[in-house]
Amino acid sequence: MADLLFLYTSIATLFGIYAILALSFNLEYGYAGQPNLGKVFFFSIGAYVAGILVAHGTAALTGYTGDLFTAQAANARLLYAAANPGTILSFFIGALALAGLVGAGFGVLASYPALRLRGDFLAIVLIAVGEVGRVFVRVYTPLAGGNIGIGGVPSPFVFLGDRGARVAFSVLVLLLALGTFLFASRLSNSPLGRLLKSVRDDELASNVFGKRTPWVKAQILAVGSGIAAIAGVLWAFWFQTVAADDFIPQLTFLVVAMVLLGGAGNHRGVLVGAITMTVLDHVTRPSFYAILGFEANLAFDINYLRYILIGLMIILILMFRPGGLLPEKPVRTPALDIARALRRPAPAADTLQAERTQPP
Amino acid sequence: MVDLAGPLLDSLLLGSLYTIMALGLTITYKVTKIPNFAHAEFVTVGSYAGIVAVNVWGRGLAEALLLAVAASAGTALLADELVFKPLFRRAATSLHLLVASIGVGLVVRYVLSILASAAGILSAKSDLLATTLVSVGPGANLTTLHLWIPAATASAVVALHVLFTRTRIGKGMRAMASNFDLARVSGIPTARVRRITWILAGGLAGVAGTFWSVYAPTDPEVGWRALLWTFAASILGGFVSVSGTIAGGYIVGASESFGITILNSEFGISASYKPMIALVIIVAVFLIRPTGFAGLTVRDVLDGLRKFPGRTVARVKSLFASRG
Amino acid sequence: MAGAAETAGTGGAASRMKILLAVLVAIIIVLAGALAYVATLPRGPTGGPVTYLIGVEIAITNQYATDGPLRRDGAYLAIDQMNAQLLAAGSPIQFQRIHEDSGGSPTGATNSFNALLSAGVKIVVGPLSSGEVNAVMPLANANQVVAISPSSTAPSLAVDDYMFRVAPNDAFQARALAKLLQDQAITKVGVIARDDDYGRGLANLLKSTYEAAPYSGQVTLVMYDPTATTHTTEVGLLSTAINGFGADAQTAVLIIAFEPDGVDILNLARQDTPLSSVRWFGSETLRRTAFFPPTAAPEIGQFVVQRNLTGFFPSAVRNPVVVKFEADYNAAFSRAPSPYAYYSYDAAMLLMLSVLRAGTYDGPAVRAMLPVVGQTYIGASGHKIFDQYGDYAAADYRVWHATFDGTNYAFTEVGTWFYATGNLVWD
Repeated sequence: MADLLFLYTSIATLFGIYAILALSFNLEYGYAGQPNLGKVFFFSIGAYVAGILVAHGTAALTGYTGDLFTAQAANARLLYAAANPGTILSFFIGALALAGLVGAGFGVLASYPALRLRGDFLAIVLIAVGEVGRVFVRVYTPLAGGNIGIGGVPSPFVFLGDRGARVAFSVLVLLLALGTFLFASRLSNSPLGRLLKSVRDDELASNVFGKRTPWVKAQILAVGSGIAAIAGVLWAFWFQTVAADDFIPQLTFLVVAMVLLGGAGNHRGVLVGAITMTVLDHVTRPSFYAILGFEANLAFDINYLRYILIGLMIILILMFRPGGLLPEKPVRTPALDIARALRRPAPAADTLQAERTQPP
Repeated sequence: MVDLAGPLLDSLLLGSLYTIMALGLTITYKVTKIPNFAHAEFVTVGSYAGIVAVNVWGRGLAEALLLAVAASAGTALLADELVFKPLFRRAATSLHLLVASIGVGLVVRYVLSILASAAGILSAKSDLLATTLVSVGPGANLTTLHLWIPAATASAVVALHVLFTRTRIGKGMRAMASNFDLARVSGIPTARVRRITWILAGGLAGVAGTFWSVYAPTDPEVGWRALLWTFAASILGGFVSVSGTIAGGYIVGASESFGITILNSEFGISASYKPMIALVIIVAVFLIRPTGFAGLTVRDVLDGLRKFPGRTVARVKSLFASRG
Repeated sequence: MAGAAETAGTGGAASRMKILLAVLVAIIIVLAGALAYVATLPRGPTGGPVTYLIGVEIAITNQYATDGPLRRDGAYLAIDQMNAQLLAAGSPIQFQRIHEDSGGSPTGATNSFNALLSAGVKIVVGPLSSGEVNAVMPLANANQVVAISPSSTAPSLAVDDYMFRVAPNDAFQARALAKLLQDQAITKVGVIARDDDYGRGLANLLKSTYEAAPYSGQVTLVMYDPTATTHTTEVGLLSTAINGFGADAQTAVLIIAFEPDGVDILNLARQDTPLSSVRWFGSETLRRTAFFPPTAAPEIGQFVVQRNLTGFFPSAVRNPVVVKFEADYNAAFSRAPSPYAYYSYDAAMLLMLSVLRAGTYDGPAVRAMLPVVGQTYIGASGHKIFDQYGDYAAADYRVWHATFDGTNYAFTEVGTWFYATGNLVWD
């Protein structure tokens, strides 16, 4: 008997997490022109913060002194969570806040290479940073359990029962994704957002207008990485496990694909990209065919076909919607309205007037 | 004292392999501005072609190389005609092309998986094997591969040099690399040059793949796993020049072999940290010099060493300094 | 919202986009509803065949790209055989497999497990690695789905739960190997091992066992990244270690590897002097015909035989069940099974037998029945008696070594290690 709760909560939660990640990437790339291909690194920081906080936190509260990364310890955490739901909820909230701060801090650090390197180089350097982090955590087991990882990160809504906790968590993730969307939209329509676009389109020009572009980039990388780290916390609490092997560069590429498929520079487009990829991921699974009543026994493994399909979809969307499913729109500002009213298509004037409306 | 003969031989071999893989990557990046992640799959295709020629058809290295070059170049050309060229016409950004190349890679990799599992060669090792010529010490063996692979790399480099400096096509590539529009209005047959570029890159990947199948076991993801190091080699050379790529390839190869040998023997650090070393070097190089090794001279190195770290600190300060 | 500017500029595009979004949301809702409807439809005519789903959550990509498919086929073979027998017996029951590739990563495993849960699966073969098992364990417990991992061996995962494991805990093999090394008068061992939960677990256990009394041997570990494409440097380090030990009759190599990395290491070691002059031992995963011709080149096969590669394999390997399994596997997939394919075959068989014995497709019932079935089951990987944690309770190990009789390469069995006494007895 099919049980679609798992399908729907999985789609909703993963969509939410990917949407948050993709929005953060879009802020950095679509608005500020910084292709942060080390996204998975900042994301993993959030997950590790959550895992380490929960592991050490519950151990401190229960006086447990053994190895934190065994199944027994994981089970003990889950049992502790069932008995003390309030504590876990506060761990969850604490992890969100802490991860946001730590992620933002790392984002500021990442702005150093971002200031000096051209786009493609920056991309590779950030991929390299992410891989260095992953390999280190993987091999250095005392930090976060190495490749087995930290198991037994309890659901923050454990008091609602397993199914209730799933639904509640999906709803929470969707709400956070909505919040991120609103935040990102506001940020992009704010003076900072327009400044970011000006940096993206012509760094020199914005420099000439007296903008401190390095500081702007540092700010946006801090915001983007903080958001990514928050998504990492959600990931840890949804999967109930944090393991180094999950944070491979492919995760970043998936997020990048979402942004580009949806439409870089357009937050709504990014949401469309995220839901497209998440649904695609779920409906190409053999389990989904089983739900539909097909027995998918082919001459070759259907999972290979699944990856081929995903690859083809990426190529096709890029080819037929090069601007993404929802392309970028001009930012609506009073200045733009005036310019339009005067029927004078003058993009340079847009930027100029947009800058002038910025409070000192 | 650590015996460094082994790492030296390893880096010769690995460096040559990485170089020949990275050369194709650099060429397509230069001419078509695509950070081509599907290059990994071109290598895998070549590797499997080598396996098929040797293990299934019982042919020698020469036929394996021919088949691999044909297969990889064909795959590369097909990928360009079907995906990259249409995207390029739509003025896609390099990030779009990167994502598209990942899509191409997924398709090729899993089509290969289906074919290989049907043929029962999901994991295969070429029947051509290296034999030891001279053993210098523990773990330091000069094998036939140490002659073949560097020779192949050297001939590829020479051929490329001749191509770029002596032939119209090669000059056309260079012209396209520096300014596409100018190249086109100057009457360079850009479409043909582009095709030849892909054939060339695919062919190099095929050569690398064949030697890879002789050197190590092949599976559908072998190229994908080696991709990051290939990119590392290419990017260390600034992603632009053949000589830079060669330097990058050997630095990546040597940093891995020497790095982990020294760290393990002298400090007892686990060899599983090996993948970190080349990556740490990339990060470090780019923090010091944002263009990689492109156009680096001995003078620059000495200059940089003399002023380190004072200049770096000053640079950071100036970046964040408020402007008037 | 509305304004003069709106109509002048992108007004049309904006409202089109809203319509598009609305249509998209509507499509999603309609699809979700239709899906819910389809999912609740009764399957097949009433009184017709009863179909039970069996999840096969075995990674076939990334680090399992070559080993995964062989293990998957083990489970497939069991399911196909069972279905054929059920059909022949006139039973209305059939098992339908759903294979999900987890990619070998913990969250990949959770995603696959969620997908299987959404399809209504109650029994699952897999996942493979201890990291994945660690990740899906809470899900299996909370949703009362019985999962049997064919290859997770980390001792740290032993808890009482819905997660069963049919491969023996690494601790047994480490003890057996220590005994074997002592028996062969080896005092210095260079270990080269995959740095994943399997290799790391076994290598560390062996080191701690063999360096302690009564063995007091010397052990050097060379661990390598399991996603590494080449192992040249690691083999160099091993060679240096072996050379440092003297490369004499008291020195040996222990290799803990899967197929591609194993072939690579053996091939590189073949070219090296110190490594070609000492005895080689291998983990259970080395007992695979992929190291022999025609799969591997003759030179590699010769090296394996010349170095007298010796190792263990749990259970009585030569029992008729094993022989039949190997023959059937070869016939079905035209290749030899890898060591863990034996376990995935047994995992699938045990699950299906437990469903049949329990008479109901229900997690708790299957879980209760599984140890009972295990008591009387002897499969491709031997008997399956579970301990209180749902782990393979104990195993006697057979000693094998690589031999060549002039025409055929084989792993010949020469002795047994008894877990109860810790003694090694030669045939």
